[in-house]
Amino acid sequence: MKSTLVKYEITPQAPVWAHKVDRWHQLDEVSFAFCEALSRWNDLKEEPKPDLILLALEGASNVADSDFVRSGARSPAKFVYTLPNICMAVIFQFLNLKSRVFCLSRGKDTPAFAREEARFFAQAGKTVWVFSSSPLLEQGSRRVNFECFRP
Amino acid sequence: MEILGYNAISAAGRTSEELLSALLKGAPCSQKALDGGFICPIPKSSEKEMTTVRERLGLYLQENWDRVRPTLPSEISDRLNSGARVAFVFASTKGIIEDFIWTDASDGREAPDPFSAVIDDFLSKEASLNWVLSCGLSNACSSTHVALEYVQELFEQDRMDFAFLFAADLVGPFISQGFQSLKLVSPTGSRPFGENRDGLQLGEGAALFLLAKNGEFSRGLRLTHVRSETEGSSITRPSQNGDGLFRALKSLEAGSLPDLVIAHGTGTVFNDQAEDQALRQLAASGGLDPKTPVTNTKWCLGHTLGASGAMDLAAGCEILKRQKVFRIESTDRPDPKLTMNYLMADRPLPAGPIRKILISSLGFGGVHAGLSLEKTK
Repeated sequence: MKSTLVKYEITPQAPVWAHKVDRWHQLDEVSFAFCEALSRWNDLKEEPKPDLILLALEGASNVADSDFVRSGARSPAKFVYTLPNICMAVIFQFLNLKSRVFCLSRGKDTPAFAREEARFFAQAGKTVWVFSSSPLLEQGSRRVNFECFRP
Repeated sequence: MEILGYNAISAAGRTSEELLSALLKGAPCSQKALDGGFICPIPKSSEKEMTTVRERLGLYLQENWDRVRPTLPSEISDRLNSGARVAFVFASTKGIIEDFIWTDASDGREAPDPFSAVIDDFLSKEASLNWVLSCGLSNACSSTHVALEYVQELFEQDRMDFAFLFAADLVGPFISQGFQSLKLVSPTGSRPFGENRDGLQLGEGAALFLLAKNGEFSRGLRLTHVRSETEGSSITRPSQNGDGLFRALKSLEAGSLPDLVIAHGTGTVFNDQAEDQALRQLAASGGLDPKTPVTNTKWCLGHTLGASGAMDLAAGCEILKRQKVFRIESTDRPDPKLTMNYLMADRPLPAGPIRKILISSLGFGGVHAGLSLEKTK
């Protein structure tokens, strides 16, 4: 499993991966964290291409939802991130990838549930990628994880 | 997958029969929204005093099940109640978050996910069933299709005997203000595929489907295949050449061509254009007769977001059972740039029997999906 802590900081200076995604400066916290992590996980391109991706966000889109409301509930740029599956489109832009995605949710058990499901799918002959993240911060940073399950 | 039972609560009423009746009648179930445009809310009855979204969704889930359960033949009820493996999947975007979001001053990190409480409430009430798996699935407005695809996988892996698919989204201030901020809400009402379309109308819906694997307890309605594709196009717009949706539709199981299409058709300029392109590509590839009539439910029921696929599926089931097709009554002038045979207000209804229906879906985040529904008896 790959696991990275990312601090959410939109600075005037564009990150090195900025050209890979639309409007990098408007990304929500979880999308930003995955982009930053993907830029560090150079060996991801060596993984077998997925038949299916499971996205496991323990708090769904609660942080982006709160951000939209706290900022006055008027910003379309913030509203577009208030869906749990949206960060997958950003990840796909970054990786130039297409696939099937199941955005699963089961409370605090969400990441463990997704990994268990991935094992079942792998047993059924599918290569599965699991992207997961908890909304809780560690040392002020969000942790994002990636794991590949092979048949 | 076999559809063993279903019910849909919508702006049209508390049953799937009322849903079809409203679509056939030709008048939208909409009312003016306080913050502009139109909305299609579920008419309130016993839930008038309910204050939380969790309570309302719990009520709709239980009411749907209470309507489906008596329709099941004893062989299905007996099997269901004798330890068969049952899954529960809740498909939704986020119409459930309203309760805490406006008053909670925190940043939402400690808030529970918006799906699990509704599932847990229902599973504890129906504790006699052998629930072996339960989860929420949220893939934007294609949530129903993707949840069905997940259930299809569970059956293919022989991990379940039955599955409950509950799809629901409600409209509160969060959803309403969000779509207003995107300028996607039509001030005048939804006119899918129309020349003068200018946006969507939001709606509420909650539907339940009881499913089993192919050939098990067939009741004459079969989901022959469901398929989705996700791409990294613009966050809110589908790829304008329709490629994403075309790939999903093309990969549906081959066989007889559909007699009817129920299109996602939000009534927004970009969605309808992309969907037309995808259907045109499908026709060019031999997967659809270009003259196949294309209809839609959102002009009448509103866009019920993650539940919209469920509203279309319930409508499709009713069409197959009753052999009655509805038009897109709010659209009188089709967009001349669009090419498919849209069943506008003045178009003749199909004469032949409807045996197979294609239902398409598109969602934010680049998700596209299609499903194929057949009458088997």
